[in-house]
Amino acid sequence: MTVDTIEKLFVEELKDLHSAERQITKTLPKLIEVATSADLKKAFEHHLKETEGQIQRLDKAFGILGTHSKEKTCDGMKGILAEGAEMLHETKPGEIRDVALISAAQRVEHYEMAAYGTVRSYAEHLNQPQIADLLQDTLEEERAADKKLTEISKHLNGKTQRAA
Amino acid sequence: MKLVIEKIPDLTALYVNEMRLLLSAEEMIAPKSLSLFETAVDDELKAILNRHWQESERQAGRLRELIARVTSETSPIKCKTVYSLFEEAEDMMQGATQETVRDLALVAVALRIKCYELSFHETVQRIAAALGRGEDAGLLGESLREETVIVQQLTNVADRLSTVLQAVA
Repeated sequence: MTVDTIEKLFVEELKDLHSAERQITKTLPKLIEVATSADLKKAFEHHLKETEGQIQRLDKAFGILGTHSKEKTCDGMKGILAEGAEMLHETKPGEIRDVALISAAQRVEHYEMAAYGTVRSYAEHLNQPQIADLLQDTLEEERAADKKLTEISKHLNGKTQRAA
Repeated sequence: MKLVIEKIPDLTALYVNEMRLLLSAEEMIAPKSLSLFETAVDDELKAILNRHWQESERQAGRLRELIARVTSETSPIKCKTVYSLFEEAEDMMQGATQETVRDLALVAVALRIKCYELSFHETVQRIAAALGRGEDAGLLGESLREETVIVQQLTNVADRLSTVLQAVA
């Protein structure tokens, strides 16, 4: 597809994000299963619900633009999630695995924050305040999720050192 | 279910593993960035991306030093994610035909890659601190500061280019 306007770039990025979020909803149930820390399981469960809501926001945005999320694969997210999956084969269940999973999950969050920050800015420049607000809501959820993961990770790091 | 071969039994092993992956990422990002980003048209964007490339090399150097402080196994562990990130970047660039839109797409992909690197550095710094490796954490903090500056600069360029496109629309 020829992307020769900011509007078209905006739509392509939104489609990419839609794919990223769908991939995340498929991966999170597995992470919930393999995580050991109750706090981490809860954080992943909470984020799964949030991600489902984030997909709905993107669908709303497509509705406002009069377009839809045709099948597109976000290669970046695919790669980051595959990297996280590797950790499951190199760590036994427990604190170290949890810390490794958090590390991978935070790279997911940062990728999303970069992408949502970008599209939120496009929405503002394209005079789409309703879409900008929807994207800002998601951006804030991703930031909060990242912060929560940092907290849990610090706590787990401390535990591993006390046990060492 | 795939067998678990416990290569990472403790936090030190995780610290080394993460650093070796990140080292691989930084070593791949530098040359891949150069070839992709030399297509940038906007002068400010060109300057930022050039600085990003040089900093990736410097950050790789820091990581090599930090890994060597802990282990003799200092070789990078291939970070496959970088391939995905650049594949995505190439796809996005291919479709973008108008010069300023193309630059804007370039900023978007550069930001994703930068934020990925930033997150990786944050995690590694956090583990260094937990292991009581204060000096290592300080060095990683240098890399983090560099990443943060570039993220802000890229964000500012995106804002300027979007305004330009809006004005001509």
